[in-house]
Amino acid sequence: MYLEELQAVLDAIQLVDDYHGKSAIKELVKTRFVYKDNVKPVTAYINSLIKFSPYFYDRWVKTVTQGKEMGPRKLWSSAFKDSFQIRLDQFLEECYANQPELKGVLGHAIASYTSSNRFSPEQLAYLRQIQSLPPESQRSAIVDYIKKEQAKDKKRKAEAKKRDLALHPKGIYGAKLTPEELEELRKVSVPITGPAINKSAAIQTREAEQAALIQKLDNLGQPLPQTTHTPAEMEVIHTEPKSPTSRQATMPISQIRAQAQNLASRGRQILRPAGPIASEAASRVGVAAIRIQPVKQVKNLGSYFLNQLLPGGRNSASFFTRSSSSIARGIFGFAGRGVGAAPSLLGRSLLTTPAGWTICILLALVALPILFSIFNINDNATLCPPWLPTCPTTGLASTLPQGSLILVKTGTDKVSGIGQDITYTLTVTYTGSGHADADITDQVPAGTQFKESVEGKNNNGTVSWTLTNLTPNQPKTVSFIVTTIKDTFWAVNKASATYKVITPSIPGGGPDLPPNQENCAGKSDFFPNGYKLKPDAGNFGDPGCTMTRDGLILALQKADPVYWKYIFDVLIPGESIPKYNPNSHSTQAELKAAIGVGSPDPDGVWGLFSMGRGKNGQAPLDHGDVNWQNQVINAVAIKNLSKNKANPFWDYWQAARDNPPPIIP
Amino acid sequence: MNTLFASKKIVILIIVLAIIFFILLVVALFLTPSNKSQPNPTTTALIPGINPYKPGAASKDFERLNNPQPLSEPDAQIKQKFLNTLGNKSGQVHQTDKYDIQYVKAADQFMIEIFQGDPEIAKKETVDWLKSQGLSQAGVCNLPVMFFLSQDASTYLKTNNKQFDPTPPGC
Repeated sequence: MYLEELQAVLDAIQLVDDYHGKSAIKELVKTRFVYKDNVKPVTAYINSLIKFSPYFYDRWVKTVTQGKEMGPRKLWSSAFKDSFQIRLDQFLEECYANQPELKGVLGHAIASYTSSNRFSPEQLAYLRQIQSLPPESQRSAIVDYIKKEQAKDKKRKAEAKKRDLALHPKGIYGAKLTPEELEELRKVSVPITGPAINKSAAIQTREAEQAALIQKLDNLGQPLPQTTHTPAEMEVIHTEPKSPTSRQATMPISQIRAQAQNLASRGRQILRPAGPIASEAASRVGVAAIRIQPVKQVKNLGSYFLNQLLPGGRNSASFFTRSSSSIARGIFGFAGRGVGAAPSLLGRSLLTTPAGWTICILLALVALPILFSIFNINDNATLCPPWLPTCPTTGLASTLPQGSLILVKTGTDKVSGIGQDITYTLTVTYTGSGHADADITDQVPAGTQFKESVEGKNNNGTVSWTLTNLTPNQPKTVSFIVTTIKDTFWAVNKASATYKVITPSIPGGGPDLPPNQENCAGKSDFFPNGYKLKPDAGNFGDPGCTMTRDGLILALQKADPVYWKYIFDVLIPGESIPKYNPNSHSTQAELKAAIGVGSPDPDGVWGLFSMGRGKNGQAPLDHGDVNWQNQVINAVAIKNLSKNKANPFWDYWQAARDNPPPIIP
Repeated sequence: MNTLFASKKIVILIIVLAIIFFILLVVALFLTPSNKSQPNPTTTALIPGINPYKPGAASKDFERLNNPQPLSEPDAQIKQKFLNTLGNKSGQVHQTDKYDIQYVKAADQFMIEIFQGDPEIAKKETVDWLKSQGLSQAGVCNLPVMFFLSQDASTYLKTNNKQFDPTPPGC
C-alpha cells in the first residue's frame, strides 16, 4: 500500500550513498536539474519542507527566492538559476540549524511523508527503528521490509478478489446496474447535517497520532499569525460525491437503499456497507471512501468582511483557524499558499500525483461555478495551489516584483458591513540605478465601489497613477478608498506597474547612446561627429575631450557618494591600463603576454573599469562605444546589482578581490 | 480503488482530462513572464588581474589616503607653495623621465604616475625630491601622495615577475 513511498525513501538513501547529502543537490544542479525519477525525492523533500512549516516557508521565500514566491522547479527555471545552488545551500543550512532532526535523508523523507500522513503509525515506527541503525544497514533493512510488504499486499489482493468474485456472479470488475437500478440509486440522498461520524477506535487512534505528529512538526516552526476570524463566522457546507463506488454497485439496490436510510438516520457522511466490515476488501473500500473527503465551502456569516488580499498563506492562515481539522486545512490550502497549514493527505496527493491532478480538475470544474454563484467571487480570482504554472504571478502576489520595481499592496484588514470604507495602499520602490518613471494601475474590487483617491485617477474601475523621478530605494506610496456594497467578497491583488529608467545627467556630460557602428564613421545622438574607435586607439571613451581627473572624481562622487574614493584610488588603477584613461584597452593577446591570462572577451578589455561588453556582449558597460561618464554609471550599477546594500558586488573586479574596500557604515 | 480504475470509461476520462491538463500547463508556461532582463553578474566572466599589484597592498595604502593626518605647519606651508604655483587648481607639480607628480584638487591629493623602470626606484626618487622641497617624511605620507603605474611600468614588473606596492617609502 505504501510501497511507492518506501521506494522513495530507498531512492533518497541511494542518493546519499552516491553523492553524500547536500552534494546530491549540487550534482543535480550540474546536470541542469533535469526532472528525472531520481530527482523526485529531493524536489519532493524541498517542497514538503516549504509547505511543512511556516518557518521554513518564510526562510525559503526570504533566503532563496528573494520575495518571489516560487517552488524549487520554478526557481530553477527562473532568473535565479545561476545562483540556485548557493541559495539552496543557504536555505538548507538554515533548516538544519533550526531542526537538526531533519539531517539525513531518511529523516527528510520521514518528515516529508509524515507531513502528508502517508505512512501508517506502524510503518513510521518501523522506519524510525531503521533510522537508528547504522547507515550501511538502513538500505538492506528497508529492502527486506519492502519485500515483506509486497508479499502481504499480493496475498491481500488475491484474497480480496476471491471474495469479490464470490459476492457477485458477474465479478466485481464487470458489475453493471440496470437503468432502473441506477435510477433507484440516484434517488438515494443523504442529508448532510448531523453529528460527525462515529469512527472506529482504530481510525480515531490513527487520526489522533497523525494530528499529534502534525502538531509536533508544526511546532518546530515559528508561531503562526493570530487569526482574525473565528469559525463562528463561517458556515461549513459539505457536498457528497454522487457516484456509487463499484463496491457499492455489487450490492442489491435494496441493500444500498437500506444502508443510505440507515446512514441518514445517523447523520453519516460516507456511503459504505452497513454493519461490521466483514472483509479486508470492504475495509479498504471504506478507508478509501473516508479519505476522499467531501468538498467544503465556506460562507461568511459573520459581521466582518473577509477582506484578506489574495494570495499568500496569510489569507488561509488568518481566514481559517488553526483549530480546524487537518483535513479542512488541507483543502483550504488550495485557496492560498498554505503558510499556516501542513497540507493534509488530500491536499498533498492532489498536488503530487497524476490521479490527484485529475481529481483536482474534476473538483475545480464542479466547485468553481458553485463558488462563483454563491460567493460572488471576482471573475478573475485564481484559486490554485501554490506554484502551479496555471497561476499567474501577477494575480497572486501581494508583493509584486517587476524587474527593478517592487510594488507592495496592503489593505484595511476588516470592516464591519456595507457602506464601510476600505483603504488600499500601494508602496512603490525602485531598486535600479539612476531614476525611473512608473505607471501604476489597480482595479476596484468587485463588491465595492470607488470612493476617492487623492493622487490617482479612476476610469471605470481602473485606478491609475503616474510617478516620476523615482529615486532608488526611496519608496513612494499611493492609495485609494473604496466603499463596500456587498457583504461578502474576496479581494484579489490586481495591482500592476510599468516603469522606464531615466539615465541621470552628470557633470561634464550627459546621456548618450551607442554609435550606430563601431568604426570611425560611427555616430550617435550625443556625438554626431562620430567616434574614433579601436583599433585606431582614438578618443572613443572621451570623444568630447571632457574628462579630467577632477571631473572623474565629481562623476564618481555623484554616482557613489560612499565609495567614490576607493573606486578612484584603488579600483581604477588596479583595473585599467593605462590608468585613468577611458580609452584604456588591451587585447586578449596583449593580456596573455602581459599577465599570462587572456580576457574572456575575445575583443579584450576596455575603459576605466575593464568591464568590456558585459554578459554575453549584451550590455556595453565600458566597451569602446561608451563615454567615460556612462562607464562610471555602469560600474556603479554593476557594483549595486547586489540587493544587499551592505555587501555590494565588488567581487566583479579582481582588483577589489585583491584589495577589498573598507567597511563604511 | 482498484475497481475504480478498472473501468474503461473512467480510464478514458482520465486520459482526456490529463490531455486537457497538459494543454493548460503548456499554455500557462508560455504565459508565465520571464525574468531575464537583468544582467546577472554571477555569471559574468571575471577579468583576471591585469595589474601587478601586491594583493592587499592597495587596501592598506588606501587607509592612509582616506585618513591623512593633519600636516605640521612647515609641511602645510610647503604644500601651499605647490598649490600657489598652480593657482590653487589641479595641475602638474613636477615631472622627470621616471615619474610625473600631479595635484588633483577634487581629491586634494598628489597623484604620482611611475613611467618606467623599477617602481621602487622611482618611488624613492619621488620621495627624495619631495623632501628636497622641504617636506618631512610625515609630510610626504600625509600630503598625501598616491602612486600608480603606467603601462610600461606594469610591463616591467610583469616581465621581472615582481609586484607593486603603492605605499610610499617610509609611510
